[in-house]
Amino acid sequence: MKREDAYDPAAALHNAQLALHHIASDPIHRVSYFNDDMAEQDTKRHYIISEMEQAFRERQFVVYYQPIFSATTRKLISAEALVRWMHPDRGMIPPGDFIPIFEQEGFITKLDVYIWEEVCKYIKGRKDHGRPVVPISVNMSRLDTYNPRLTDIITGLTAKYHIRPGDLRFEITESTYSEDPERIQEIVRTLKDKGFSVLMDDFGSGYSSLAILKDLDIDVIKIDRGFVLDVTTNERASNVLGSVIRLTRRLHIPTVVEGVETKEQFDYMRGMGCDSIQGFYFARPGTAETLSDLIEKCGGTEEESNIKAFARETTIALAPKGGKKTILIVDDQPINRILLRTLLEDYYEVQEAGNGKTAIDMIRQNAGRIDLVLLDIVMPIFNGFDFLEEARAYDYGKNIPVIVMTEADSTENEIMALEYGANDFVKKPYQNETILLRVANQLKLNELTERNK
Amino acid sequence: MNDDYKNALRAIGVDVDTAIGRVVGKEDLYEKLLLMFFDDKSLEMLREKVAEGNIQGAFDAAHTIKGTAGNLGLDNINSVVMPMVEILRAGNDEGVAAMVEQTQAKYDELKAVIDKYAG
Repeated sequence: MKREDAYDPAAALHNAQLALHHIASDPIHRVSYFNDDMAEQDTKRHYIISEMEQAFRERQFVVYYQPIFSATTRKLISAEALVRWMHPDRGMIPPGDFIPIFEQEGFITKLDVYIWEEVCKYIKGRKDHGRPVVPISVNMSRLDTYNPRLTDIITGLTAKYHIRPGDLRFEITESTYSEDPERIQEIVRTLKDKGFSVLMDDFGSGYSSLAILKDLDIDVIKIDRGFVLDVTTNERASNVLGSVIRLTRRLHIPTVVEGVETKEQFDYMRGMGCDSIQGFYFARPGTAETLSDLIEKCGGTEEESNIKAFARETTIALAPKGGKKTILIVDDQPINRILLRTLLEDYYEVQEAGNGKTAIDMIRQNAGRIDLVLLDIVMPIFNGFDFLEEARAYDYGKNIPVIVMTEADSTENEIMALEYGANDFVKKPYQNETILLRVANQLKLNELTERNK
Repeated sequence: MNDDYKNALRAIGVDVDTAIGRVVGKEDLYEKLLLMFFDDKSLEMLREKVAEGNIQGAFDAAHTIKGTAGNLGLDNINSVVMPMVEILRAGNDEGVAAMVEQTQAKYDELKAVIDKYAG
């Protein structure tokens, strides 16, 4: 209570109630003194409550999208929908100012459903124009999970806007899970049965992270931004994050890291094996138009991204005692060798030869240490066919997997290369993902064949 | 690699974006490779073989240019080289001498952009 309030008993009582409310759920403090901050908060709160209804009616809430990029292909593969309140008089009201109040007042489900519907409209708009889309993730608040009609509302929306369940993903926070794990497991199961993906948001911020990994059939884990902040400087933080990512990979659950803001952090996360990245380093949240532009400019698919991750994984899985597999690139053009080296050297040891003869010598001298050959066919001296003929005739080169690079326009070369003993071919100009996938496949195949001998 | 440089390349028909994707986003490396493209002697070789009437030799040289130019997104150069490769593949050299000169012109145009912007 404040002294001046003595002149206005009603105000004094109100202020005292505010002060009491302030410690209502606090078991430690038994006494609370009223201050002006509390009054200000109370005014804000009432303002927001009074404006809420109208905001819904006039559709003042606008959806912003924060892009999520693949750490391997650097392409846009998804986005998270975030809400902005564009108030006609007050301008933009930050989510932190109104979301907690909406939660307390029971308006949050109405807001969430509003956002889901806006996202569905956006996706439908893209599809109606024949444009590509990426899956959009939306938040599912704690209170939504108590709504018995939850699944009906969601399937109703996707049916109304003719979108696939795969276009929409739901983010549940770790704290929502902790509150009632069994109920959330049931909801996740139902949503997944209907074809929706479920993401675990703020992973690592609560107390049940390991239980979630153990008990919940989750599609993607979003690692809390708290882990990113000091990961490049704090060794413990980096060890914990590294272990979490290894653990999720073993369980085949892809990870998104949130809050990545610098190149240093990005490189670090990528190096650790994190699958995708959300944060200012790539893009800030933007409007639907901004997202559409990004999809047009650098949209990719998760499949491509997974292929790259698979290549990396295979390398790790196949590498004996931590050593990398070695790939020999045979091409007479230095530019082509550099391009392939750049693509492959993240995953493999790379050797180069400028013609087939040098390549043969290298294989003979490094018996057993070259695991795969990427071979250009057209070379001025000792071309690809000469190489294959020579290599296949001797023990040292008999079993090395050879992938031939041929021009898209020459089917005869492909057939001939296979007849000469090539294991596979890639057409030029190649896609990076194709090369990585074919290389990984051949290495895996060879490994299995060797093992069965 | 700054935007002016990229735009100047795009303006003459270079597919900068695909090429940068191929070098996994390493723009500095792409700049270096563009310079290296001019170290290659395949165009001289092509001219020589065409003059000699050696169609197989000419085909090999043109084919090499096509492959490298394709990798670097040099669609401007391949707009001339690709049809030339097909003529040579069929065992002809009709009109090829003129196409070699057109290729040279495309090289010169590209070189001018590189000289202007490369740091």
